[in-house]
Amino acid sequence: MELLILGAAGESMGTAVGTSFVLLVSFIALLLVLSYYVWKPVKKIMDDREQLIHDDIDSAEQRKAEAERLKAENDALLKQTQAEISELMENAKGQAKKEQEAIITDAQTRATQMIQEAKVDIEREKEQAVRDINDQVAELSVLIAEKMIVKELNVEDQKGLVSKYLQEAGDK
Amino acid sequence: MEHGSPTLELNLFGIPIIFELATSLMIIITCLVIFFTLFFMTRKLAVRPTGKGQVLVEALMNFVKGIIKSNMSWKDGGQFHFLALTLFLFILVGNLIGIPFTFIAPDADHTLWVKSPTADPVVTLTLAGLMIVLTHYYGVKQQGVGGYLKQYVTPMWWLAPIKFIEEFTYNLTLGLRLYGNVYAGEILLLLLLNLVVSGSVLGALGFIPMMVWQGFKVFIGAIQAFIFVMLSMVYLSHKVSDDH
Repeated sequence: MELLILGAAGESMGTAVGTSFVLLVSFIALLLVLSYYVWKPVKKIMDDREQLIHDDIDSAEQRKAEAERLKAENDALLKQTQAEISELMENAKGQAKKEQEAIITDAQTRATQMIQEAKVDIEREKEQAVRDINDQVAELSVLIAEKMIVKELNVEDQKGLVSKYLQEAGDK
Repeated sequence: MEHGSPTLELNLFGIPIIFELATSLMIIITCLVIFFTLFFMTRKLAVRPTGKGQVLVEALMNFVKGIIKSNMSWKDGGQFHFLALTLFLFILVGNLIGIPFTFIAPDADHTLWVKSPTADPVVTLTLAGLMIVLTHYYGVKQQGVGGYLKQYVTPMWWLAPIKFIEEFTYNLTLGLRLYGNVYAGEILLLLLLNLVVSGSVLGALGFIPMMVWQGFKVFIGAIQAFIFVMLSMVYLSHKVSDDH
C-alpha cells in the first residue's frame, strides 16, 4: 500500500480498495443493464425513425421523378395526338374538296352533254316536223287545189307547180 | 466538524480490503435510482414518441452523441456511446443525490450516511482510472501495439517521458477535479446546514444562502458531469483516432 501515493498519505486515511471494487462492479453492472434495457431499445427506435425518414424521403423523390416522367410522357402523347388529329382533319378537308370539285366537274360535264344531246334532238325533231309539215301542206294544197280546179289542170302539172312554189317558200 | 464514516475491513490473503459503507451504499443507491428512472421512462417506446420519458432519453442520447462527435468521428466513437451515457448519468446523479437532503446518524461519530458518492476521492479516481485504462485498451485495439507505442514518440521522441507522465496526470486531474468540486460543495452545504440548525435567530436566515448554494451545486454537478465525460472522450480520441 505504501507504494501508492494515496496510501502513503497517512495511516489514518487508508485506501478503500473495497469501495473501488463496489464502484467498478456497480458501474459495470449499471452499464450492462442500462445497455440492455434502455440504450439499445431507444437507439433501435431512433435508428428505425431515421431509417423511416430516409425511406420516406427516398420514396417521395422516386414518386416525384415518376410523376414528372409520366407528365412528360402524357404531354408528348397529347402533342402527338393533337398533331395527328389536325393532320387527319387536313387530309379529310382536302379529300372533301377534291370530291366536291370532282362531283361539280362531273355534273357540269354531264349537264353540257345532256344539253348538247337535247339540242341535237330538238334540231332533228324540228327538221322532221318541218319535213312532215311540208309534206302535209303539199298534200293538203294539192287536195285543195284539186277540189278547186279539178278540171282545169292536169293533176300532175298542178302538183309539180305547187311543190315548186312551196319549195321556194320553204327555202326562204 | 468531523463526520465519521463507517468502514468494513475484510482480510483477503493478508491484504486488507476496506469498504467505506456510506459511499458504497450511495453508489448502489445511485445506480438503482438511475436504472429504475430510465427503465420506467422508456417502457412505451414508439417511432412517434408518446411520452415525455422517451423524448427526454432521446435528447440525452443525442447530447452525449454530440459530445463524442465533437472529439472523434462517429465511426470510431459510436462504440463508446453507451459507456459515455452511463458515465454521464452516474456522475450527474451522483453529484445531485447529495444535494436535496442530508442524514447524519445521531451516534458518537456523527456518521454521514447520505452524501454524493462522487464526494469521495476513491470513487472519482476509480472512475477516472477506469476511463484511462479504457483509453489504453482501445488505443491498442484500434491502432495496434506499434501504433499505440508510436504515439509516445510523436511528434518528438524526447517528449516521451512527458507523454508517459501525462497518462498518470490525466488520471489524477480527471478524478480530483470532480472530487474537489463535489466535496467542496458538500462541505459548504453542511456548514450552512449547521448554521441553520444552530438555534440562533440570525443563523436561521442561513437557509437563504443554503438554497442559493443548492441551486448552484445543481449547476456545478451538471457541468462537472459534462466535463468528466468530455475529457474522457478527448483522452479516448487521442488514443483511438489516428488523425491527431
